[in-house]
Amino acid sequence: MYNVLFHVILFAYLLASLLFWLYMGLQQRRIFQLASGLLVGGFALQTFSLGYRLSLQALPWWGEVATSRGLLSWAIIAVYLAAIWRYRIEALGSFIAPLAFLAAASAGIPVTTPVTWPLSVQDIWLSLHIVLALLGYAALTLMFCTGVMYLIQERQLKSKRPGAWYRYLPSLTLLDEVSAKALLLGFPFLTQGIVTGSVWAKYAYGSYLHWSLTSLPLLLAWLIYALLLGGRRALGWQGAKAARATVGGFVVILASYFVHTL
Amino acid sequence: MAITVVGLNHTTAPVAVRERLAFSDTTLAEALAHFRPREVQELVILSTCNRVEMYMQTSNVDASFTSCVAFFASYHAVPPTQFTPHLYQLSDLEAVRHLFRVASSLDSLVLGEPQILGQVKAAYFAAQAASRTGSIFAQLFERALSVAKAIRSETGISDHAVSVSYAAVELAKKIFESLQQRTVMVLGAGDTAELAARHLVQQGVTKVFIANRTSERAERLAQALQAKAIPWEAFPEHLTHTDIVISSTSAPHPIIDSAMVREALWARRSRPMFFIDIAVPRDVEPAVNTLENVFLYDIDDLQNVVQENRRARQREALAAEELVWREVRHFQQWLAGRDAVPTIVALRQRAEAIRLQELTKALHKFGPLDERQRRMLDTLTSGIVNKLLHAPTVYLKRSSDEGQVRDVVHLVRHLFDLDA
Repeated sequence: MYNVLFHVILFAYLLASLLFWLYMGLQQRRIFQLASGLLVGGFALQTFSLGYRLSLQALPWWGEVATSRGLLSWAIIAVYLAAIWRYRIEALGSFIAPLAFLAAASAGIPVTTPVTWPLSVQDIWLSLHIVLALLGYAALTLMFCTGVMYLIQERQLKSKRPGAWYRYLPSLTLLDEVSAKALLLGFPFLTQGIVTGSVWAKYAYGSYLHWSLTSLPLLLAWLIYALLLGGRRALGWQGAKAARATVGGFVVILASYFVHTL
Repeated sequence: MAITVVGLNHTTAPVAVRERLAFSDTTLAEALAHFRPREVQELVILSTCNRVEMYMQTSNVDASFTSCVAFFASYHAVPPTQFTPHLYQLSDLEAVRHLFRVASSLDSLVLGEPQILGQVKAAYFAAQAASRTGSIFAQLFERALSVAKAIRSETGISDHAVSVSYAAVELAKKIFESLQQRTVMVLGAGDTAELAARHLVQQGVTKVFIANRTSERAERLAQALQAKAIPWEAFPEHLTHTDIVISSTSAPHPIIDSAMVREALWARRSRPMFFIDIAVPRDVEPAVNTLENVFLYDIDDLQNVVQENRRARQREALAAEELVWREVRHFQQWLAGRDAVPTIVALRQRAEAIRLQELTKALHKFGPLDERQRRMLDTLTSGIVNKLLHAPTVYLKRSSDEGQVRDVVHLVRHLFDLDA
């Protein structure tokens, strides 16, 4: 049942992504509504499946949450729904839905050697680390999307040949604002994830440094985001510069995510 | 009965002719009251600066054309030879389609312009107030307005700015989202600059500064826009708190260069700036566009945007034409159904009347009959009538789906002598 449900969710996200792209081309309101409906439906199912797992009680609840398949995609869509509810950026779905799908799909890739979670997964510290880090990743995914959208829109305006993209995407100011908010949300989560991770490493392996080998890209990404946050606050970095830093930071964080999970 | 339209528009007649045939609000009411030829049952007069059109529900298409010509000539005191070459007449579905296209702004000088919808609505209400409309025009104009609204919301025909100053406003909105709380500086006091500034103020811009080499003109424009005039020499320092610059001076060389803008950007912590340079020769150095978070559009750039937008509207117009055709067919079906149903009812009533008449006669001749025999006679006669009328009824109903109902109705009414 859990498996079937997961594939239904996966399919809903895939279909939603394709529909969002179709909406980009055809600009018909009904397609957008259908895509949004599918995304929300998939999200509801995923929330339900999370609840189902919790009811099994094979692990303590934090362990259940942390080891739930596709939790990242769930977090990404949660952040997306919050953003769309607050800012009504219809173009956002075309960018973020495929990423949510990929996140879900990568969690579903059958692993040849079955993953045996270490006993320490029951450790609340590790679970907290995972959940917080995932929320941070989700906020940073949103930021990456607004960054890419910003760069496309900026290029449209600079080229003086505004085309279909120009109409589809919202204004630069709005994209920059959402990006700044996502950073404010994502950065503390990322930081907390790193701190709890290191605390857990201290308990598990007796050293704060043990995890740092696999998490080198994560540290690098953290540094980029810290610089961006500082730059935004103190030096008035905004617009194109911030968008480029956002995209760069996300590429690094993507690397760290895969180093961590694979 | 037919729907017909007689009129002229911006493509068939020069303004010199259009203005002589146009009706103002007051003369329109008069015209609606006075134009009463025998063949015309319903009338709506649409008079805008680009067209004068008489929409009529008439029993004689050709006679109503002649009546229109005579009316135009006598009411406006213009000899018919001066305007008849510019007149057109469309009838039946072509007339319906024409009205739908006009209301949807597909027939306008500026494709997708928003005023025409209101003008069509006003023309219909004026005719209604003068009691010149009936059930067919009520339906026709209601559908015209709804197809126009559907086209506006379902196609992008009105989405793209097709004037330089509106294009500038649209661009500003794609940079700044909301224009409220933004600051605009106008350099020079030209007409286009004033127009663009006006549009921006309409969109909620609250602070406008105006700098001109001759301060009287700046003062005058400042008063018109409720703006603040500043000394010409002071404009570079005002760049720091300006989001949008509209420049249209007659200076022979650029008055704003990259260094100046870079300095302003530094002071405003890279908040975006939008330069609208409509001066020829240009006022702003082109290299300014290469600065981060700065966008510069000169007059050619804006005109390119406008041209691209015109093309975009034309693409949208194709989809709109399809919608119009679909609605024309729907209206046709409605009209047809309207003709068929009363004919079927009349046919049934006539047959029933004959049957009852003959039945009474027969019963009289038979003498006393019992209840069962009476019922049998009744059933027998109704059966014959129903069987006979079945085929023509189906024929009428089917023809209303296929749209050739008028001929069929005519035939059936004639065959069964329903109009006697």
